[in-house]
Amino acid sequence: MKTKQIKSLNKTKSLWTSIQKLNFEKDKKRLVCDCKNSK
Amino acid sequence: MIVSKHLINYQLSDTHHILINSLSGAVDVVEKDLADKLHNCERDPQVLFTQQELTVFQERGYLFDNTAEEKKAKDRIMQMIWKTMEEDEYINIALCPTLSCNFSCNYCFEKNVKKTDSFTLANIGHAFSCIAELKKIKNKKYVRIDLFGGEPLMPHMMPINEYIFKKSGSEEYKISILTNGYNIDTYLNLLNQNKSTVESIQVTLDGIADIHDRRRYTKNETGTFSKITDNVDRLLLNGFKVIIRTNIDFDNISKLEEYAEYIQKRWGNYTNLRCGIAPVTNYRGQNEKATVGKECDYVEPIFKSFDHCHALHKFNLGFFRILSHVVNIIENDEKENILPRYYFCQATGMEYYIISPDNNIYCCPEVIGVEKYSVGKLFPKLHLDEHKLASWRQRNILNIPECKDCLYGPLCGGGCSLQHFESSSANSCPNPQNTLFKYLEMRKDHIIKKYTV
Repeated sequence: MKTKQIKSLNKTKSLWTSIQKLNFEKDKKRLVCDCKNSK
Repeated sequence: MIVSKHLINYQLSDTHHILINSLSGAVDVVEKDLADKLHNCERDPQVLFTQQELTVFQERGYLFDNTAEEKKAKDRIMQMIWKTMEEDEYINIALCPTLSCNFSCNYCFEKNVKKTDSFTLANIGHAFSCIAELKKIKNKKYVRIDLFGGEPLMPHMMPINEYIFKKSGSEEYKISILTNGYNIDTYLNLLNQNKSTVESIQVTLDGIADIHDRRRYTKNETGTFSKITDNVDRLLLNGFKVIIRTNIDFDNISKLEEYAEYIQKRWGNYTNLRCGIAPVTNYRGQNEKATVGKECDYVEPIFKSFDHCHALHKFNLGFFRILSHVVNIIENDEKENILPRYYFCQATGMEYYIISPDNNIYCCPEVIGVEKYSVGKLFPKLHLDEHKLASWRQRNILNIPECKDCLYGPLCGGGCSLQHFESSSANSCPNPQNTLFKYLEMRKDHIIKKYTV
């Protein structure tokens, strides 16, 4: 959303208006190989 | 109406601020007078702001009707996450065919692990029975396996890996491989035969040849760069999704720019390649060399040349715990409603079971081979210690006293559980504010230029 003084860099509307399905699949994939430190 | 407790308000210039809501994940660049009004909001926001501003700020999670509503939103998000996790159709398994490795990397976190344990043809079938049982117990539909180790693609493990691929193929399990990349040539036929089962292959490369070779060498101290890069060529040419992981510390961070240019030149045209940089960690104090920094230590070396060295943009910072959310949005133009971290890693945030040939099940890859952190057994029959599992999984930003009301909690996820268990100090806070502000300070001119023109 953009008004004269606010430039939104990402979207959050759906999270607050209707918490139905979070974009969790993407986060989950991020985590899958996230913690294999120093390998 | 109240201003959110999760509002991070950082001044970029005389005219603009950046607002970050650690709870909703919102990131906005606003003019200074608006940011000031939010910061000094002693009067009712309904008097201070226009209706349009109020609507935007409520949508973005900067304003709530009252404190109880904000708390309710936080609880609701955390419940959603656990629920989504429960309803996830996949169970995530890391299967270590062997704990042995052909490398002697100077920063390896498995240095003190007994390196002789391997699955055999006599018992790998039982490991798969345990995976099937876990899938059933956890009521999951699909299995995703990370081949891990040790080094999973050791030549002597070929018969075991043939079994793993065959069995995974027949069960429709998906496999991602985390390898040092040295024996890809030996395994290429097997990988090609099982292409539909292999989701991705992560290979670690730590820099240009001389840097990589002094960090990641074989047991007889031979450099590995040339063989690994040739193998990456093979994987890319054969169409595999490849992730190049680069472990960074004070030893190699200063050469990142030159290395990024190398990657760009050699593999820049491949769409099946992704790259990520990951800070080397030393959570159990197993690394004797003092080259390991904190996340904030790498901000300046990475971002000082970010604008003039486009090759650096190839590197994803998803491995950075505190910064990944904000960096993804600002640098990678990630506009979808990507959430902050909320949880630190898969050991605390998701169901992740590491099947190790030492007869143990772990939930954190950094403790493989460390008996006291075992959360279950494979033999004689599958056993999960739910009490031990809970000690990892209950460490989250709703339960950790220091994190409950921390403004930065949802961004950092409460820090590493292992570090907490190992630390003699009660507080293992990674100081997320310091890291975030260092990044914003480094990139403020870029943000202004990109988002205010």
